[in-house]
Amino acid sequence: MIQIPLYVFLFVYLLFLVVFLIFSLIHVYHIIATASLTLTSFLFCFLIFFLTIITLYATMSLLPDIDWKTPVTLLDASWLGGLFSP
Amino acid sequence: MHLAAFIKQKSYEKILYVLRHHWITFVPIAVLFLILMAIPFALYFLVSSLFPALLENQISYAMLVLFASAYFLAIYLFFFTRFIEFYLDITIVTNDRLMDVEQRSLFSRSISELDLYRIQDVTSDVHGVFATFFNYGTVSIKTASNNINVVAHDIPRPNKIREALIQLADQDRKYHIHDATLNE
Repeated sequence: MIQIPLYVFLFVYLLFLVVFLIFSLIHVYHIIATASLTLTSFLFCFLIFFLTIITLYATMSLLPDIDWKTPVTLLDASWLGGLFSP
Repeated sequence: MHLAAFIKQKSYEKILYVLRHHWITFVPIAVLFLILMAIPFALYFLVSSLFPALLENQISYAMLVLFASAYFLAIYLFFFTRFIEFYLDITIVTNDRLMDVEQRSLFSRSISELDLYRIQDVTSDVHGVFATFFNYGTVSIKTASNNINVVAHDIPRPNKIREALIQLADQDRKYHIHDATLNE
């Protein structure tokens, strides 16, 4: 039986957040480096920032009572038990 | 960074036009963004009616929430990237030269620059219902060189820009002929 704790998925999600942050900063850098920091681009950046904050807040508020140490079974031999029997 | 620093503006140079894509050409991307945003909500209603046990189980619930959150963030990133590609395509026209910045993808940018007096032909194209009603189209600029031909897509008022470029090219050509005459 292969089991991993639930917090592994939380770490994967946090890793994804880091990648998201890096790419967002690259986008902002592109806007500044090409002299495109106008009202339009500022409002758009603000919109993305606002949506990101809302999403992260909603994620945190939906997951307060989770026991992250709960084991998640990835593979159980009993799942394959009847597979090769005649 | 200011636009003047970006193009390394000369002392006698004035920025006359800064041309970007018409805003209407971004609307399909915005609509796609809204549709993609609505998908998780539709899936939530489906799952809550057909498989409510998935939302009651702690493990599946946590994984579904994390996956939905990652999906939303990926959508924002996709939308931001498309905006960058849309907004950072600029054509800058000064009284001396024309600079075309084309943001092909996030890490791919092409910059073309040509002196106005080298412009030989300017063509404006307006195709389609939306382009006609919202007055946007393509301006193609040809020079004597085979290497540099600038095409500015989906810019507002292409006919007016075409006329302005022809006028500016004529003026710049006269200035350079005067220069050449003085040097003889």
